[in-house]
Amino acid sequence: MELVDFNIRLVPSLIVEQYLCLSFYHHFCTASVYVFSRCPKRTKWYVKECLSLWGGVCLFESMELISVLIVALIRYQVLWDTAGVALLLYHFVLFSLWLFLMSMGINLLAIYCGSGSAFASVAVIQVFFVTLLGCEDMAERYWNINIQPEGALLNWNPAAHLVLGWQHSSLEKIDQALHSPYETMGLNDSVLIYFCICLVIFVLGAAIVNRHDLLLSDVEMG
Amino acid sequence: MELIVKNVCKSIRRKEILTDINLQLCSGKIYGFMGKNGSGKTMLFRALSGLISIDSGTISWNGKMLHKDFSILPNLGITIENAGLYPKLTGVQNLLYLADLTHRIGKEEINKAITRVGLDPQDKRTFGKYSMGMKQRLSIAQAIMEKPDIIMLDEPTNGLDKSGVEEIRKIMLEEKERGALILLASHSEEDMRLLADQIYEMENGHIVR
Repeated sequence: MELVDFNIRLVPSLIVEQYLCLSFYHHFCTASVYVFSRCPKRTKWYVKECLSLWGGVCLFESMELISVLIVALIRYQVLWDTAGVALLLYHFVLFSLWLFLMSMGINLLAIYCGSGSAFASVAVIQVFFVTLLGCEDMAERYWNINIQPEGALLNWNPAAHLVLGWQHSSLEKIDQALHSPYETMGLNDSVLIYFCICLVIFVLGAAIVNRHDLLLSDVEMG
Repeated sequence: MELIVKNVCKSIRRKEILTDINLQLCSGKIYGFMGKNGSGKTMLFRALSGLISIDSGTISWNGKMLHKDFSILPNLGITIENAGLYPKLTGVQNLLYLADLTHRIGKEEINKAITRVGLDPQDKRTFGKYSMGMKQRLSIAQAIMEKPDIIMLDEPTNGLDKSGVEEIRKIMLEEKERGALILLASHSEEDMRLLADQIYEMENGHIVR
């Protein structure tokens, strides 16, 4: 149930990914000849598009958080403290990096296999990683496999780093607010991991965009 | 100004699409490329412009090497058969977006180019709603709007009525007069006869004549 709930919480991101996944891919599938015949420096164009994508991601995440805060303010009594604000910021950064990563992945994959296949592939990968969140629990329950230290496998699962409640912080107030059952995951580590993965995808994307032969004018239609 | 092509070869998935292409092309002339579908005309244009890489050989423009000194031929205007523009933008919006990439021209030059190809700059219809002839005209407008030194036109008169064909031929001759180097791929023997200073015939990726 919790996994289903977590998957449902990712649905707004999936919907936004459907829109953002075309942010620079659509230049490849429609007017690629006309755009790239004017862009001798494809890297410069790519960086500009990535910054624009990042802006869109941050805007969506901001709007999502503001909406949630408004609902919380209406329904509950909200008490502000430093730890809470810090966690809000961590949430914003982690989910923004995740959404950016997924959108970039779809854009780049779509250059080779079209938007439909790319989106489906990345969506399946997301669901797969979310499903794996329960793997330690399942291993212990069904196969009596006790993984030590607890949460070690989760470190290797990118989706696990979205669950703030499973992570530690070097700041005492935040750590106390989280009450994490796992010792191995840290908030700063999660931010660093996501940032590094984004950087790798960004560099890979620059190589793809620069080297990609524009053989077809409309990749979607062939 | 000269575009010199030496021993250019390109294969895709082990199939040779361009083989040993040699050309010496000068500004102020129209060069025609004829050949059956699949003979390599479009791929030649993509290779010469820099939109695709080449496996071997060299392409130089005014002594500078493509893929070494620049990645795309500078100041190039190109239309490729079946290449579209953004379907949800109007004609002017499409050309404004493209012009914004190079910052060489403004709305005035865009309106002039659109009028020159026989379209209305005030037309609020989006590109997706254009007829085939209108799409072709707008593609040509984007190729000529920045007054490029090199113009590559792939089947520019496809889908045009008789008056449209006459207008496009007139534009090509005007651009030639301006001093542009024009490469024209066409099935139309009449286009070749009326426009081309020199004609090359392509077959299976080779220039045979």
